Amino acid sequence: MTRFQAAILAGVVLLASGLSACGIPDETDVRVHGPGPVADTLPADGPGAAPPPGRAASGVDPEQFARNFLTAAAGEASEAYKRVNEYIVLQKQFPKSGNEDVNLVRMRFPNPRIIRNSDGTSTVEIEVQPVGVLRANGSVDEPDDTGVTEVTYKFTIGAAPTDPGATDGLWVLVPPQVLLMDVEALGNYYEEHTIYFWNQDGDALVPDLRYLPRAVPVQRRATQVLGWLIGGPSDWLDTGVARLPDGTGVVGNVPAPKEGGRLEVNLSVKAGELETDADLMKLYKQIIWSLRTNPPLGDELELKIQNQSKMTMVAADYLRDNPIYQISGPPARYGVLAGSLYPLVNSGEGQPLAVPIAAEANQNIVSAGLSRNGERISAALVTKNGNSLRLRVGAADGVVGSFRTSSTSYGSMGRPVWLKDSLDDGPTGLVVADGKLWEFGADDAQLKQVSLAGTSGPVTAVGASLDGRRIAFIAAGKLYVATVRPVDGTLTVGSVRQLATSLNAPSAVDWFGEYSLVVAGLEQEDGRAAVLRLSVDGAGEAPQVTGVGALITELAAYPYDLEPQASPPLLYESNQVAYAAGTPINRADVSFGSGTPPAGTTAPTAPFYLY
Amino acid sequence: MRVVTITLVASSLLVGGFAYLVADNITNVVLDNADADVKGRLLDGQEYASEQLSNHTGPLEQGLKATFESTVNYLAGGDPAQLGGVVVALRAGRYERLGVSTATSPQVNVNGMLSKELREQVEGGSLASQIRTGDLFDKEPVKYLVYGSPVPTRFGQVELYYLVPLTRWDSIATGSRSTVLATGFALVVLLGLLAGLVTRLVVSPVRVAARTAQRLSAGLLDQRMVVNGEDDLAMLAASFNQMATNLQRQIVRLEEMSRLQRRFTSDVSHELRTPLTTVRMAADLIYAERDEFDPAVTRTAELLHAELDRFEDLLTDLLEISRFDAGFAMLDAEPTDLVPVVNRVVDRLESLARRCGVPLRAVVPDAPVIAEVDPRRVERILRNLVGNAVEHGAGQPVVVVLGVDDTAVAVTVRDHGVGLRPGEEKLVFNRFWRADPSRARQTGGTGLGLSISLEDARLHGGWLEAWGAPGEGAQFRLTLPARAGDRLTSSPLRLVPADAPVVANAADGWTVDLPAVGTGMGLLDQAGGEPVGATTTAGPPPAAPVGTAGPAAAPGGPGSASEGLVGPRRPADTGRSEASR
Repeated sequence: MTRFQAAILAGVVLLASGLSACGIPDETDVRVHGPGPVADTLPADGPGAAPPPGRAASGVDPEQFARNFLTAAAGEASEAYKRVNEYIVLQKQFPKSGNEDVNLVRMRFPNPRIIRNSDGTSTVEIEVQPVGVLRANGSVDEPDDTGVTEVTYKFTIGAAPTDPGATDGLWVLVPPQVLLMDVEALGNYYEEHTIYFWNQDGDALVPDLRYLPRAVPVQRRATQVLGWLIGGPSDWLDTGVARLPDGTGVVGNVPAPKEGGRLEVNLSVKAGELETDADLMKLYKQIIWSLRTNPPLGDELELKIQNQSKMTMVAADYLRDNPIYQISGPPARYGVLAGSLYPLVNSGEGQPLAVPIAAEANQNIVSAGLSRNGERISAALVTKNGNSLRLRVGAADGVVGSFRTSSTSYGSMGRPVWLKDSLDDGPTGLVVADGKLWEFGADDAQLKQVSLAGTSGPVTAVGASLDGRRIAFIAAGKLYVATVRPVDGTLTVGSVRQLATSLNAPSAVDWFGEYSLVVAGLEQEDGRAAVLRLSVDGAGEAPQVTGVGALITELAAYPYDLEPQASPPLLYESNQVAYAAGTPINRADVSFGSGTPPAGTTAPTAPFYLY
Repeated sequence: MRVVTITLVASSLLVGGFAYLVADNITNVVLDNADADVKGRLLDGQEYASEQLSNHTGPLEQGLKATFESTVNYLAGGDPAQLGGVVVALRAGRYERLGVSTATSPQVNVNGMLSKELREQVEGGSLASQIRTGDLFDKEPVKYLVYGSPVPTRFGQVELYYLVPLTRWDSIATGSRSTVLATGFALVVLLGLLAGLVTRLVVSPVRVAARTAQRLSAGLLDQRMVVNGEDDLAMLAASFNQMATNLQRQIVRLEEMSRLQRRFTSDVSHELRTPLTTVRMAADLIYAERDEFDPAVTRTAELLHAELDRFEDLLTDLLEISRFDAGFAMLDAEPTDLVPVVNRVVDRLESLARRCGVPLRAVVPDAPVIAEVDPRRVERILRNLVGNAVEHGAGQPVVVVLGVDDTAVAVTVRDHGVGLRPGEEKLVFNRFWRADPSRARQTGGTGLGLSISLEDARLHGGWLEAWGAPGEGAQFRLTLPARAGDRLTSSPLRLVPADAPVVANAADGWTVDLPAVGTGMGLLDQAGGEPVGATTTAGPPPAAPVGTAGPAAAPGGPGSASEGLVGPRRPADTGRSEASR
């Protein structure tokens, strides 16, 4: 029996041990499954632009050191304080509070004032105009002390106390109270980048200017832009435009596509959002326009929602087929000569277009504003009858024949402008008369005053943006931009933002593109009139015309930053003389066509663009 | 049992091996599956991670950490609760010194799970995997398939790892293993049972047959096997039964014949006695009156008388023999001093010896030789032996020697007559045997004397043996146990006389045959190759006592059984028993 039991036992043990030997082991050796993937694009396109010079590279010249210190914050926002703190002795460094805002200032004078102290240190004094606050999202908001034109900051630089020999270079021993950055650095270390948000009515994309640090590698820029879109518009646009649907987010990064490949944007949205194709189309349009100038947008843009591919378009084709501005055909220039509108010619601009106004209406005109939407022309004419000025408006396809005239007459009236509308109900006109801003319609010459909350004093000039949702105006010698929105047939002005400019007494303004204005005013130094290109947040300033002897009263521009040209498309009037980019427009520039030129030698005035 | 054991061991080996193969195969398939599954996910994940990291151009860049984390979160599927324990880790092995830390989702520490070898392989640009056991969630150790792939980025290479718990795969493997184990075990048990059953089916009839055969051989001739069905075993049983029946019939027939023969002898003897008595009376009368007849008639009367004496003796012997055969002979044992018995016999035959011119001498111990014997039968034996010796003494001396030891007494009768030819020493005990059949019976012997003597000795449980050589005379030895019923082991006297010719070796003529025919009779001493002279005190050869029990079953019937026939004669018994019937 023992043998039997032993056999059974042996069998069972054999069976069990044999089986327990197999099964998934607890540990195994490393199994190699062949080579892994290798990069198929060379890491050649390198990092972004070089950062601003650091403290160690700033030498021992206090002035250069101070300049470098004022550009130190430039770069990616999250590192701004770190970079600035590198200049500052440890005890005085800014706390890392998570606040990433940088105060942008415009130096009143090119060179900071250096005051040598007896202890070997230097005090740096800078007189600046606060321009705005550069937020982490790349937007520039109004400065805390809006309207203040001059602030003096002081800070002390010198050798570190622990290093009297100054072999370690200079340090900021006593920093200014706030983080400062010279607005010049904005131009050197950032790129202007427009992103778009739909207006509240969802019928127009409103540009929102952002500053993209050049330090951001090209591959990451699409991710950055998507991040901005998700983050929402700049503060001053917030009331005028709509954010992305609540809960929308980017899934991961936007991968940098391979050469000429497809850019894939993967979004996550809250359930219930983006249900309709129209919503999707709008989102796609917003994204593709926002990425328009983005290098990673090579060939195609694919929009994915929750990893599901929704739309894929060839970017160039889509952008061409889906414009966001009503610009059809090349611009045409007109001027007023002897109470009538005449086309202006220019060697660079082909055949002039005939005046789209019936001949019987083309008289007694002081100034005019025309707008084109395809074939449809909307015209607003300021006519003079004695000392009273009236507005005549009309709209028609081709040539406007019938006009309505305002019943009220005004003592002064500026050049009327048109706010383009993406809808077919026609543009809205704006005109400054008797120190107030008025609106009118293409079929309604009665002026209705536009209330400008938050401003005071007489309005002297107005400009209408391409998108038709923003205006710029000058009130009481201050420059403002504001969002507007038609509500029940009345134009409502949203938040109003004052812009800081180096010009004194701005006298005329117009939009110079989607994110810049042209402003005419007096230069600080010599008091002469000048025209500046000013970014819509007031941070970027570029002189266009300088040294004009008399006040510039009229200013008209054609969107420049959409299609930059050799000479800026800029028309202005100073002392009853019209200029084109600094050159007076004389009688020879007027195209009289088949008609008889009027008598006299007067030059055209009140020039403007039709587009 | 051996068959069952062999079956169990063999089937265990077979099933174990097979089960191992099957289970191993299943495990491999399961592992391959898991491997392919994870590999697919890993490669997708690697592609995704590579895309995500394409945003970064340097390991120190802002947002790299965030990208790491968002990537592993995305790859892990976001909600750790729904993942089934999958852990995704993104590690920048080459940039860890620069402060690029490993991102994992869910957030657990996987450093212990990524072995150095695996890390080295993956950092070296290979796709590699390893199974590790670890407890990432502080619950219980779980087996993980750790799969790593390099992820190329613009700033160099980072590594993506998937740690996929093998719980599900493991349970599949375990489940199938248990099934295989249970099946295998059941199979082995079943095979064991089957083997046991089959063996039992085959063995038990054989065992029954063996038992039946044993009983049959023990004499129970009516034993038969049960015949079931028509298989080979049934045939065996039928044949066995047939054989037993035939055997039984034959034996019964032989017994019947034997019985009839004995009865015939007995009846004839009895029936002859009555007329013989009458004839005897008449013959006695004539013999008493013989002097009155003429010499020729007188001679006839004397012859008649003498032959009637012989006839009577013959009849007496026949009756005695038939008593033995019928089993009626009874031993009337009592302590007897054999010295007077021997002397008496010698004395009685003295006259015959003188007549034959044979010197007769008895050598007896001085002390009485007491043994529990039947003195009448012992005297008859001795009378027979001495009478024969005198008759065949050829004028040479006849010596009768009485010997004794602790257990036995012995008497040898030595003559120096013509002796016995080889083989004759057993034939002499046959009934009516003559050394030379042509030789007329001169002396009064009936031819039954030695047979009766043998039966008497057997009745005592003693031995009666003969030795002889041509021209050297013969010696007979009677050995009896000192106490009735004791078993004899040796004899106080040697069978072969001291003056017998020495046989140099076993090749010598007549002694050679003895072992060949397997006879005992004490001469086996010589057959054993020992010098005869050297075995003076040796008892019967080792084979001699063997038959103490055996002869009881000899076909001598109940009578023979009670005689307690002993071994030495047994080999010769077969032939003689035939003759005695």
